[in-house]
Amino acid sequence: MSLENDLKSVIISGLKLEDVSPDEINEDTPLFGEGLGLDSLDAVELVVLIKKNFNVEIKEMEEAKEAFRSIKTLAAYIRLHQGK
Amino acid sequence: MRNAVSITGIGSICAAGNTLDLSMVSMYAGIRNCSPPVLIKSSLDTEYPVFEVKNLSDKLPGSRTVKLAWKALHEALEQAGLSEKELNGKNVGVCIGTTVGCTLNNEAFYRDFKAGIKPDIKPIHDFLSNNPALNISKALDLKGPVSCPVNACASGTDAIGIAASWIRDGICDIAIAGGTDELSRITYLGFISLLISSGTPCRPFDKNRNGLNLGEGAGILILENNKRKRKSLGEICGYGTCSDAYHPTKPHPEGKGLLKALSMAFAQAGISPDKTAFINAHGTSTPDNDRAEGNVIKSFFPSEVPVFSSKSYTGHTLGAAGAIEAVFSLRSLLDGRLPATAGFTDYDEACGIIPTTENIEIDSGYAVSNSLAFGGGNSCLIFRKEG
Amino acid sequence: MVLSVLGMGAVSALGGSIDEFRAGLEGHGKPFIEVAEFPVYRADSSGLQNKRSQRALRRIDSFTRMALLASFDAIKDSGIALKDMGRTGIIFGSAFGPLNTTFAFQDSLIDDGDKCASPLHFAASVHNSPAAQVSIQMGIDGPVQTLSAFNHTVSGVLELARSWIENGIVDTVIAGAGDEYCPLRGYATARMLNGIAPSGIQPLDFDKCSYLPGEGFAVFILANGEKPSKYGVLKKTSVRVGIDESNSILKDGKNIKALFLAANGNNGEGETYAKINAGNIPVRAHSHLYGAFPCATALSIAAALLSEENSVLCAEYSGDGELNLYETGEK
Repeated sequence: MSLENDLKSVIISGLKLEDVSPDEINEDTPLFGEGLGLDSLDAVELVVLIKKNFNVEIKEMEEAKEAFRSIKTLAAYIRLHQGK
Repeated sequence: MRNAVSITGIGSICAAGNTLDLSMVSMYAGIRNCSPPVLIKSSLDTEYPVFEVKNLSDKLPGSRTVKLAWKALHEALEQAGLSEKELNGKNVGVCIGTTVGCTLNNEAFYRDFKAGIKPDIKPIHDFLSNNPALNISKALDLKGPVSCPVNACASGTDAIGIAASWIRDGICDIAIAGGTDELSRITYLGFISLLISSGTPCRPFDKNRNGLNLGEGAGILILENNKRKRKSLGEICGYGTCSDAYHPTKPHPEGKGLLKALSMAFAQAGISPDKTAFINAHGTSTPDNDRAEGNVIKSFFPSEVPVFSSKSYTGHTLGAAGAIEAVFSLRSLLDGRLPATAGFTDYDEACGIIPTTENIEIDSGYAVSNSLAFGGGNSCLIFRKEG
Repeated sequence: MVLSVLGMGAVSALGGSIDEFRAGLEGHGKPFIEVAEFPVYRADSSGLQNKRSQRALRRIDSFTRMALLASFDAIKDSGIALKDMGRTGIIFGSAFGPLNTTFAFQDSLIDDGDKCASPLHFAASVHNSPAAQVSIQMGIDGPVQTLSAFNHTVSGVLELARSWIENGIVDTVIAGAGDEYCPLRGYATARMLNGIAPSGIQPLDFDKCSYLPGEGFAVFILANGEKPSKYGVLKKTSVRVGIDESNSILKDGKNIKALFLAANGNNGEGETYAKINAGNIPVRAHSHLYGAFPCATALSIAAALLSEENSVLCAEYSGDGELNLYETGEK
């Protein structure tokens, strides 16, 4: 399973998006606002989900903003920071 | 004719000082007691500074949250010239807000339970006897109404508003009102997890503000009708509360509910916003709060009305915040003096507020205290001093 | 002033609606009792899924679900659209708040470490979460308040509703109270009863300890007593009344047709209930249908408002041998 697919299932179960199936989430689908419809409270939970599941720490929301655009950008961010 | 709501005694305890006098001295001197927590341990890499109360007497009854309330109550009763004994059996109400004090968050106990150790249930019995309002009402053998608002960070303000309505409606002759909360590992880690705790001392309304610091403490006011003919320090003239109906943690960006709450409070007081001597803002120093609150203050009040955030000296004391700020607001009116807001250096256009940057003189008028809460609650109180 | 009761909602072991609650009181339908470590009366909030989308409910925890469902049910029961209720406020009460979310947050610390503290759980663990969610989901942008003071919670909610309506702050109050079950409560009850589970609550057997935990939420749509009401009116609430005073209220209250007790099988409280002199009127209690929890008094008041006796006194043990009294009456 790819990191992208792992991310999708972590987001769906962690943010209780059971009305969405992983296939419906395109790798470029915006996570916030229009798109998946996440909000600021989901964003902070996402920080914890990424720490818990991928052992990557995000300390400032500013830093995460770019990474949180889509599954693709988030996967890239995790690859860059994993094991650091 | 409804009763006027006189305030005959006030007391507080917080990191700025274990009495109201001590708090005012340190605020007028610009001293902030903000440092890494002593009572809270965590496995985080960094420690977040907090405003912790030091040297709280062990002799006071109950949990730390309840002890804080008792400490402030003793000070308020003394000023009101009331002994605990003379209140026994009387129709005296108690309305004290909290957030930590109503929550079953004894972590050690829960860890043991979860691990199947079958812990002794003393922590449950302790929890059942540590509701701050009930604890005080029972210990003083009071016969009046008892209530504990748990409206998150507006609880202290709401408790005073509700107790004031008891006096106004003739439900009781005297009411003990306020708020109390201790620092806890749960709220400490919770606010850090929301990424709204700052790693440095807070900077309300500053361009570079990056979050709040938690604090702890209590504020208590003795409210009365005029029956006892006790010298009044001041009056609660208005209270308003209104929900944003918007988001669980974010304030409405235009402060919809806060504007309505202010309108309600001013309507009850029967005055216009230009009579405001100063505003004790909620001013938590989070980006969202200060922006939303700043916009409301700009649109509702004349631009020359001074804005102060006492959280720069107390931290965010959650359920106690509104009560401590109410006590400070009345005291500032009585002193004719408002402290500088600590930590502010750079103007932020998005807030549009320059809070007090030095101690200033206050001549007359009304003090306004705002509280905003998780869940979208907004509550405001308006005070005036006697005479 | 008196308050008109325009509608009611009840979520309890008898089901997720006031109709199921009424049916249960009348002997049709049995309470759902789950037997885990200890028997417990469990409420059913699954009906909420028919009212709100999965997306709208995704962050709504078990406690808030009860409050939301009871609120929707109460509004439906009133037959009045929310927009026609005028300026509306919300006042909820709970002794324990969102217990399961409180512990879910602690689980996140214990299971995954302090760095993985869950902000979602933390934000939803505040006691005012149900009131906030009802205000958000229904778009009620009026005053919203939550109170928590064990056996003084329900009296506080109703008293504040009276104050808001009497002082013209709002026209209508969605007033409710409830508590939820969590495994820790089951454990604590088992410890208190030395592990011996009573066979079922016998609320009117005051000497006997037959306490079993329960959960539920009742909501009342309240307005000025002048308004046409579906269930009659809530009259005066008398708080912290001693036994002598309550007995004289009962004696003088010529119109009072029945006494409803919030007794719940706790024999410590039973001592006080046993001293009440109800004279010739019937004495009823219903906790054997929904279990014991501090805010079950709200269900007891709902039962009183549903009863054929139009004028009922409800008594709730309030601590130290005292009672809170609630009086219902005909419009």
